[in-house]
Amino acid sequence: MLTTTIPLFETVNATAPATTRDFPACDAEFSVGDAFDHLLGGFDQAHVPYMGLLELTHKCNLDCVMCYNVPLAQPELTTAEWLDVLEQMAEAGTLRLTLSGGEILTRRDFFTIAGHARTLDFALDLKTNATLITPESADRIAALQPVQVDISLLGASDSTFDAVAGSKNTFTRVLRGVQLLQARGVAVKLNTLLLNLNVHERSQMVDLARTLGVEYKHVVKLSRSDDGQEKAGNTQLSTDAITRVLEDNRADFAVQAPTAETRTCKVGLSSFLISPYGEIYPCQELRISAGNLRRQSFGSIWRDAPIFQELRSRHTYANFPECRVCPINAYCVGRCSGLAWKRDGNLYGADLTACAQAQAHYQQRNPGQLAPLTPLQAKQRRHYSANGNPA
Amino acid sequence: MTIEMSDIPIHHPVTASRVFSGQALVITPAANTVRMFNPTGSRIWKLVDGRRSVGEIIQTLMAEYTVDTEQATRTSLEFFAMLEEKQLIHWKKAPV
Repeated sequence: MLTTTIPLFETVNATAPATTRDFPACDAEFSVGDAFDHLLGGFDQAHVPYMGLLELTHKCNLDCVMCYNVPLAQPELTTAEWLDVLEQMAEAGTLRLTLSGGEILTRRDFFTIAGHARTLDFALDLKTNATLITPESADRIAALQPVQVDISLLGASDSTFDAVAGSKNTFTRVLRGVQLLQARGVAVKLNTLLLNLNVHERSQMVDLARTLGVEYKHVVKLSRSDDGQEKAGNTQLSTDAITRVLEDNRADFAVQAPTAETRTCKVGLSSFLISPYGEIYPCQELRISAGNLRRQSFGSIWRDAPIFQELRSRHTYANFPECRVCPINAYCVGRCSGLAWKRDGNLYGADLTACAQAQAHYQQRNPGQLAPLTPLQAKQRRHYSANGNPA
Repeated sequence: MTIEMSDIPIHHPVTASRVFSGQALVITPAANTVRMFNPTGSRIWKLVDGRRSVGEIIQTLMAEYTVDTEQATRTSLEFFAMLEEKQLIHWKKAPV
């Protein structure tokens, strides 16, 4: 039926930077500013599974003290299974994929999977420790035309890096991998998880990134392992140290009191994670299975899984009893439901790292004033008063 | 290059794209850009599948829109030229 008139075929939005649209880290801040953001907002509302993090394997050549992956005694998805999953995701509308591990380059079929993803028009981000990158694999990575390659920088010397990564000459090997990629024009971003093992080299890592001319980010969020164990408990920065790091950062942020409808992140709306075993989870932290791809289709899990339905309908301040009454919730930008859930099984609880971050923000905006305790911090203090502080 | 009706456009391998509810979103990862097209441009982008020729795409548009051959051809060729210039498509020649 001929009902419409043909308009001019013009580009309605020129260009917008793509790397600002990372896989939604739980500390991300969101704003709707341009047509692209408007389109992304539409994905959230329509629940389009726009972005996926694929953990292709939990195998790794390093043994980092803070690694949260817990390899299971079951087979990882085969090449054929991953290729089928890619087809299903393309059909469902997924566009941005982050390929992660474990270490992606320990999979012999990595380039088969990644190449098929590009054939299906996915935009790829890669996460690697970079220690296995050779001139040949760097060529093949460059040929994938990734948006960005994220590499962990866990120290600015071999001794520090090795202490975190449980291997030898890791700093030297990572640096070589970074340079091999840069020589081929691949965009690299360095990420540091600050621990008490490497925080003393923080400024050197910043300087190194600046010298290399690459994007750099450090985070202080430390996760429990996927099985809930505090594997890296002793290496976690203290709350005071986290506060000092955040105060040093002094990045700009908005002070905005949340309403009952405010979400603390977009988990469950347009992004997901798939484990090497085919489990779909809402995100990297929130390991509540939505279903397994060996038993159900991607589309049915994304549409019908109870955890996704719950996150879409209930993940707002109205349902966060501690955060709702927090005296400094206007300064909070990083509450993570996954960390809250890992701490005590409460999806709607508070998250101590976010509490420390909110305090740092409060003190940044109110110099000389001591930040109030959050309800969770106050509860923890009462608990320690009654039972003794384990620290 | 001169675009022939028998030429077959293909999404350039440097692009990544999806069409969401009739809206094409095209990413050029290495150049760090995102582009969106209007509904008609988005429809053409979706018809670019590596099998249809320019002529077949124009015929499809004419079946879907109220448009005469001259306008559909002119505006489609302009759009293809823009896509080629921005390295969003390349061409394969139809088998003789």
